[in-house]
Amino acid sequence: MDDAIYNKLKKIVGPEWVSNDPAILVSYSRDVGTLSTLRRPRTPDYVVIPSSVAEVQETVILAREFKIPIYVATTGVNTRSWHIPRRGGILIDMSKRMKKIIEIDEENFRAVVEPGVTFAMLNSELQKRGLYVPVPGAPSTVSVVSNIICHGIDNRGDNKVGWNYRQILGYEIVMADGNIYRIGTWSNEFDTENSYWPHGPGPSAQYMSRPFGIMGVVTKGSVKCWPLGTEFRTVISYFNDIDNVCKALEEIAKREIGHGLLFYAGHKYSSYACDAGFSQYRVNRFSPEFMLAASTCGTKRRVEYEEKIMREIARRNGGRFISERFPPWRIFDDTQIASTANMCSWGAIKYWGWRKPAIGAHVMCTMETMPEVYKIFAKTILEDEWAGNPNNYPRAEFSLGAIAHPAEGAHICRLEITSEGHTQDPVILQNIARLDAKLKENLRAHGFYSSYQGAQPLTMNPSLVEVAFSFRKEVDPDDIFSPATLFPASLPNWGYATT
Amino acid sequence: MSQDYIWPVTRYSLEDYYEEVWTHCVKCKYCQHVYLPDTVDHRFHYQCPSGEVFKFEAYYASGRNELIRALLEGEVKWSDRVRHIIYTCTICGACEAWCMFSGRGYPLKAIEKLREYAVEVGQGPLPAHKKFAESVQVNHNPYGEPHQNRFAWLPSGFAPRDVSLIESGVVYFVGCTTSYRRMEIAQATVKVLEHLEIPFTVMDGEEWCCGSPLFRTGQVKGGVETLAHNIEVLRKMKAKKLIVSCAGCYKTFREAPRYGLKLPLEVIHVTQLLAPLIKELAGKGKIKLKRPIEKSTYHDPCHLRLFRMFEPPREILRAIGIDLAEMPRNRLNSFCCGYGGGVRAEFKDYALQVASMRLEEAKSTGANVIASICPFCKHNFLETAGVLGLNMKTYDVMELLAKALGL
Repeated sequence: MDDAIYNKLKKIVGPEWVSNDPAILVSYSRDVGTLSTLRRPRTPDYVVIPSSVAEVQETVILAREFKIPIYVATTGVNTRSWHIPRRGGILIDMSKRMKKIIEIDEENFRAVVEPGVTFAMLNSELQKRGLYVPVPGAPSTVSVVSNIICHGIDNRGDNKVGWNYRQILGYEIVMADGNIYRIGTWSNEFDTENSYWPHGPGPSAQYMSRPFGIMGVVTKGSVKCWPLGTEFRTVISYFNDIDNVCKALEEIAKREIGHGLLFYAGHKYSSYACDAGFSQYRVNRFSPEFMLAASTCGTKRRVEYEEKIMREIARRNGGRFISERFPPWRIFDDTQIASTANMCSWGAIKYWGWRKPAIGAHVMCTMETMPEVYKIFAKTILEDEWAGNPNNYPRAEFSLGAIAHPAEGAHICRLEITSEGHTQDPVILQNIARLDAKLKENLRAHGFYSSYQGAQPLTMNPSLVEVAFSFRKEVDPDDIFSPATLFPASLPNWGYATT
Repeated sequence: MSQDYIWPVTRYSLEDYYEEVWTHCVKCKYCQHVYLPDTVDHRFHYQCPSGEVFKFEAYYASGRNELIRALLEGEVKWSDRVRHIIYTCTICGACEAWCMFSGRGYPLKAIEKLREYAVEVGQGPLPAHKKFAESVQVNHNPYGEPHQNRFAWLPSGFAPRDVSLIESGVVYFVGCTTSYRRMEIAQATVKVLEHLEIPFTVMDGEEWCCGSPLFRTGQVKGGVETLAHNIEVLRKMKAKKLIVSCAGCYKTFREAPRYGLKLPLEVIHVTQLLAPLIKELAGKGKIKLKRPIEKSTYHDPCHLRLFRMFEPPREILRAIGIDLAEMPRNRLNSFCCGYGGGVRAEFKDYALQVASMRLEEAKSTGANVIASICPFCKHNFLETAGVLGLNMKTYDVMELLAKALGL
């Protein structure tokens, strides 16, 4: 099927790399974000696979000329369905022909990559040089650039390298008018080759990455690299109650040891490791309730020292060490390595286990208040007439889960429940929506704020949102980059953040 | 090496896979990459041949999954593009190797079932594949070669109907590609087995195509007929052990229960039989091995990856003193040669392109020899190296072993 747009796209990227065939388009119609909803698959009108910045520029200019939306896709898991079209348009697949590692600057601990480069690809080269980039709680199949800019699955970081978005040193972006914009030190017109610092002299890279929404197509990113220790170890201890695990976590964090720290509700393992509800149930039955995972990385001497301290603290707070004596638990160690130290997602292959419809909430709280948050969460579920009774609906068994990991000056406590059942079951979906609202209501009643993972206005200064919004309005008046919900025509309601 | 491989899941209809697509395929992209911690070189990180060549998501397992959904829902109609997407899969199974552990999906079986469905609804197979079926019907091989020439390569002194050989219960199933295209592999295999005084026979005029080309292209009915014939002959011969030197034959026989056929004997690859024996005999000084080449890399055939059959050929190469240089993608992470799934017959340029990608990787090891244990892989590599003028020799492990034994 030929039309004017299609013919022009063929000229831009070459006939081989553009398609409007339904059989091709349908493969871009769904992702994990649409899986547990009743949303129907939606396809773009065209898919293009560019190989250069110039091709991206021309595609964007064409979209603006015809006033049709643009969606950008890379590789990995898209938890928010951002690249799933709302109303047709051109989908630019950046992951297939723009996957060069442009530069690894060992001396300055940075790497410059194209959007198609995954964490596994980059880390495989960095590790040869004694460096790594942290993998943000996602499989290593994800794009380095898009994951960092879009905050990954939940923007987790670790206590040594900080939050995910802080790994950005600069990026190059094709704006809606076709101009190239460089952020961070890259914006220095006298030195466009080097990107060492995210904050200037132009707009701050981090400032630009914080507001959600699409400003343009990122064609190149400069990311921070970290030195890789010669030794690496994970210490996993088990606790029977939430108060003690939080005390141990707090004590270790305050000693400023450990590369990555987090606690899980013990059965958190099981959803990743089991392939069916009944097997998860069995694992849960003999699982200690909470687990503290602490990893350390560095010289042999440093690692041995930190491990000793971690063990002492865990023991003092009632923690037990099962893994050394109980081999089955060792299979989870590498998952913890991925989650805590984020070195290379060694355990990422196990990341997607048996998981079904779930509700979740991110709560920003200090470590002392974490037990309270968890109890509110547990109480909400247990007291619910539907979720609290496993026999209430066939196969609707709920499991509670919690992950806590360091954030800015506090910790993020991520709470979730998973249920057994079909992802499309309307009864489950309705109840999940109801529970979600109830949980947030309960948390707010106790003075905590929660955000669903789709948006994180908690830590975002409202003025930044407003500035970003105005900026975007200037460069993209036809709204080609943010069709429908991402950046609607009026300023989004950010809840308490703007009030 | 796994002899007790069991299909982890048995599904009977495309609708079952439809359910799986809806609930399991989260587009995590594990199906596109090697096992992540095993990534050692960013250039050799991807594992899906059709995706790497055609690039659109539709050519990866996650996209084909979505195509199943769209076809069954009527969202997409049958077209040349649909058939192209379905039949450019080499059935290498790299996607499934990881998906079965991460997304709990079975994309390889889903695509095989989709091809079967395409044949059922008259939308498949492709013209070259139809010729396979016609030739298998008439000549019992997919190449259109006369059946009576099947064992033309057999050494003149070999008597397959010798009672003592038949009573040994060991049968060498040669396979069509080895019999008609890569006879040197069959000759080397027979020479080595005879030299090591392992009694065995062949099926002589009763050996038909194993059915692999038909199963792989969705023509299951024809595949079952020819496979059933072979199994029946083996049953009458009272065979206890079937030796194969072809990865396609190995997969087909091992999967016979999947098609409702009972397999009355053990199926092994010839390297599985010889690896421990060579080590033992060499250790006791009963055989002398002379290193035929200095350095080689090894390519894991895809159909053997499904059965985790990685070490025996490597053990043989090491036993004969060859310096084995592993490619970045090896064992479960292996990258397809490009021949399989009926791809070479219908899309030859694409098959050669995939082979050239693999040869480039082989080159990166510093070796100029690539060894394998599948006639399809050897055939594709040989032709590609010739077309591209690459200094890369291709041998079957059995050929190298025969040379090492001075045969």
